[in-house]
Amino acid sequence: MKVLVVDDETLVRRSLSRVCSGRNHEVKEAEDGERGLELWSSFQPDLVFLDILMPKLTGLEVLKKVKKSPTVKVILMSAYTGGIAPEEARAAGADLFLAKPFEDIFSVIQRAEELCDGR
Amino acid sequence: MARKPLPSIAVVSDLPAFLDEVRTWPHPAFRLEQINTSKNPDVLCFGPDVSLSTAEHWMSKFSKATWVWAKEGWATDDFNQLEPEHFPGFLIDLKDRATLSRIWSKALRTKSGAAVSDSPDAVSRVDLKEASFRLESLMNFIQSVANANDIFELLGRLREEMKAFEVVGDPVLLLAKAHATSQLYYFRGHETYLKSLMEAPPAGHRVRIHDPIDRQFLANQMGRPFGKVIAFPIAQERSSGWQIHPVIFFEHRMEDADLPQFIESVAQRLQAVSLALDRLVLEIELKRSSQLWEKTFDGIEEPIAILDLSGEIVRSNRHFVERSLNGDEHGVIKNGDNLFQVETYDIRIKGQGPVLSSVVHYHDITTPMDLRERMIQIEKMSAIGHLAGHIAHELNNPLTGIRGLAQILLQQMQGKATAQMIDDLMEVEKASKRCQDIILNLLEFSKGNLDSQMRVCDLNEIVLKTLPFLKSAVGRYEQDIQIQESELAVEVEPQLMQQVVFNLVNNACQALDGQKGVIAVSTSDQTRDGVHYAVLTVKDSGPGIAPELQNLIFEPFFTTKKEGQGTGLGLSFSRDFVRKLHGDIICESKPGEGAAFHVLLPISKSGVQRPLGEAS
Repeated sequence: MKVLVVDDETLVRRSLSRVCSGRNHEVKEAEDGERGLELWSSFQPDLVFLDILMPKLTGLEVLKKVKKSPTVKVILMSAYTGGIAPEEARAAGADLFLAKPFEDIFSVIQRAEELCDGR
Repeated sequence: MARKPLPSIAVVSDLPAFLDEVRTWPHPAFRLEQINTSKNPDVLCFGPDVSLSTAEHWMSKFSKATWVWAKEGWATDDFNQLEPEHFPGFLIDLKDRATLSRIWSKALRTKSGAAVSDSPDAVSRVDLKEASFRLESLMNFIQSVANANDIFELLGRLREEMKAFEVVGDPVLLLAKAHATSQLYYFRGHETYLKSLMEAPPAGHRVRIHDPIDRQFLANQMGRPFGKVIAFPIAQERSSGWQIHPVIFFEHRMEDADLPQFIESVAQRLQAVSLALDRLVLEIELKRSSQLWEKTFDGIEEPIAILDLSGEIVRSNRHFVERSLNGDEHGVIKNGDNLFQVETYDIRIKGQGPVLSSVVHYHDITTPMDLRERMIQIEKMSAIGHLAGHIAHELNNPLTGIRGLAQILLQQMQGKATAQMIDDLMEVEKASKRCQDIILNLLEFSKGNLDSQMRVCDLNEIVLKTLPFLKSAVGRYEQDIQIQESELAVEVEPQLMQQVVFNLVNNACQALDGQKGVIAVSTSDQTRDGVHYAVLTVKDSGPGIAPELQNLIFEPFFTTKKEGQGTGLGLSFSRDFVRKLHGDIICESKPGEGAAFHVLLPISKSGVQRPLGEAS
């Protein structure tokens, strides 16, 4: 499975790619929204971890611009729940909303895989 | 020169004292003579020594005369036993000058030309006497109206005065006002009436005799037909400048020949009536404006007192009296549930003139203080909320990575790394978990009263969640934390309750002021007056609170802290909040023995409610 991680926080990108590679997924990282949009079209991921507050383009703006195929699953993430409601995330096209920090990074990847398996 | 024949008075009495008295009567218009069968006297006056049979003898002889029987001082048994109905004339008191004047006037008017010739000298003497009599009775009238206490009394005097003209009705007084409702004062029998007029009254400055407009006006106002009416307008420029035009009306059945005498008699009295009216109307106005002032002064919602130069209270309004104030208060004072800012200022006649008195005004600042307190609290919490949101975002991102990586490393290094390394990684994971919790609590705490909701919480949990924020403040002191193990369910707004805990513990730390000491925080439950309370006690071993300050510390903006350490709002906010929940905060302290604050909250009967997604 091809996984794209879009987040401006290095440690978030690193931990997510580490755990995804560990489970034999192909991972690419983008450090801002613009780069994320580019990789989205070139890499054609099956799963996207998308942060909301990022430089250049926010996660929601990326979602608006991208021609999202219904087979691609998007997990929207935010470190500040005060900024967005889960319903809003769903309306924007996200399949799941996760508040950072995660309680357990392994259960995050497990939920993501279940999401993709169910497509 | 044609001269009116003078009426005569014949006295029947053998008492020299009585005869002397009669000579002092105000009847200079009469010739006084001993009884004489040959002449017809106009007035037949019996002394108190006369017997009824003697009187009847003379009365039958002079049946057309006015009969007068005088008493007082000289009364015989006969006289005392005399019932008024047995004597068809006037029974009079010798001192009753008003009645005497009336009798004489009556005699004067009924006198019909009984020719009495006198020498010119005698006549001029009599004229002088008559003039002085008139003057005296006019003076009496002026004096009586000058002393009149109200308009009806004045009108009553005029009515008495004009009774001599028998076919003249009671006077009616109109106070025509230029820019206000005109009023009509009148009598009906012994009753007095005051009527406000809906229609414009007749105007004019001259005496109007038998003007149909006046007759119609009175008939309309008083609801009965009127006969002949004479109107006397009293038009005078007033120094007081009042815009009132009084008119006095008389209804009458006099012959035209009698009118000049009547009009002259009224005219002579108008000046006095006018002056008295001027005074009475001014008095009414004055009374009205003083009543208005008094009502206004009393009606002012805030206490006010007027002090003289020595500081004695000259006047004070109702609220001042009700609140038992002294007039010597200064600054901000507490009275009942209200807070007053006391302001004192001088009253002078002119800008820089000498001070006459001073006014002490108690501005009620309870509500503004409340509002200000609330505003500050809301602003503070909103600022903290923004800050906390920002911090949460900035810290949560790296924390996500730190925790995630620690978890991954822990998994990957199982069986590869040393136990020491694994242990270190576990500490990293635990520390980041702790940071995450603190940020979550900070976010919750800072939501403040912006969107907080009442729910049933465990007081112990609230205290435990709040204490970490105070670590840096409490950390330097010895701590004694005793949280009750069993749940203490209280219905509160959790974020606001956290602020109460924060305020109390923070205050306790500030009370120790860097000196060695103990901060004790404990929770328990107890029953007071039949109510089951959850109790939070925050104690410090600081210098304690002086008894006179123990009530003041709960006042908004009262603070003993150094500048920058507090707004003086913490305790007042905390107690307000707790009282709203039917609880209370009680302060226990003795100087030198520290202070304890007990927060009492009624224990909720329903169980603790947790928001969705929050684990216990």
